[in-house]
Amino acid sequence: MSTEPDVIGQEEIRYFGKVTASISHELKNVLAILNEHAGLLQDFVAMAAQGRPLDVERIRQLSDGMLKQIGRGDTIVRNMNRFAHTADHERATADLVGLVELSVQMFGRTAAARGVTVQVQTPGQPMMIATHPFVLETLIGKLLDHLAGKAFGIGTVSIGLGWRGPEAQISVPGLATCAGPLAELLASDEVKLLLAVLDATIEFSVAGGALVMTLPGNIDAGRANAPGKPA
Amino acid sequence: MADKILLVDDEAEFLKTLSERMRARGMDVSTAESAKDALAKVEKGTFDAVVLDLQMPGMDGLEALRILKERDPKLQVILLTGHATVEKGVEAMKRGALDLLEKPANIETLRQKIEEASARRLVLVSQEAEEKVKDIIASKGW
Repeated sequence: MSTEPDVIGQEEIRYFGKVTASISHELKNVLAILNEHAGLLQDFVAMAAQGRPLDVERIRQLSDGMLKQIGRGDTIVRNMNRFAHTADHERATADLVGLVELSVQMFGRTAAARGVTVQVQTPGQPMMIATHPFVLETLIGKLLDHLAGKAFGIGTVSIGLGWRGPEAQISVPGLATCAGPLAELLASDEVKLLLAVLDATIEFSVAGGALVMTLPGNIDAGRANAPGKPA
Repeated sequence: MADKILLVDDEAEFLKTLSERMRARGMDVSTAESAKDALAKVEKGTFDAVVLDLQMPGMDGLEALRILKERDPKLQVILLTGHATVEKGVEAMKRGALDLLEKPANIETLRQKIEEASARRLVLVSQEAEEKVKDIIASKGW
């Protein structure tokens, strides 16, 4: 029988695997484009050797395209590095906005492949909270995976962030079409355990179709303190 | 006559450059940026082979493959993917894909595979024509 730490560890590994697979797929696409661009340049060189004049404008377009893909690949690797480092410390003070944005970036391609766009409505300033960053990433990823994975007809998932007193809140409105399956997910042992580790709660209003996750500002001090809460 | 190919991928840059390289190798290439667009193009025209990306927004390559083979079992489909899991590879073959190539693909490997697809389609079309002629002969009592 699995213990609670086992279940949390399994959820974390599952999420890490899913994100890594998605990232590697996207990197493969970048490499495929670079491969074709480089191949076409080789074709041009071979044609030039046979006397066909070089199309300088097309060569410029190809080199611009290659630089663009290198920039894209660099962003992917940077995000992957940031994501990997969220697992460095079991507990840490981190910017909730950055964590949620990172989760969305990590999950973007998977969601897009399912026809879902995920947006984050940021409060315009960091929201520093003391939490378990990787457990939080795992929980957000699990929720996004669920929302984008089923045919709920949700074209856009919009995530809002803000404070309610000393507590931080993550809210997702517009989920009325998936009330049943979502309620089922929230009642699962895995989600309950992840919420317990984060000392967090999730409320889902079936009537309004809004999901609201509430997290303590400082997990070590309970729900009474919020270290980064703006005055 | 040049092989008529439909290249399907949601990465516009990839589509543009690979199609240019394929045309330089004598192929008659059309492109589609989604499975839906590909299905519409196959409905309107005849292709020797479809080179189809496995993972695309909306309808994915496996679903598109199923529909394409349902509409025309003779149509040859080559899947192209960033990463092929064993499960997806098996599923692709079950659904009638000619092969599954991994990105970045070597242009010569792709060209050989397209030639194979075109030859296979020609055999199937010829067999079908032969069967039709046999049916006509039988029905006329010749």
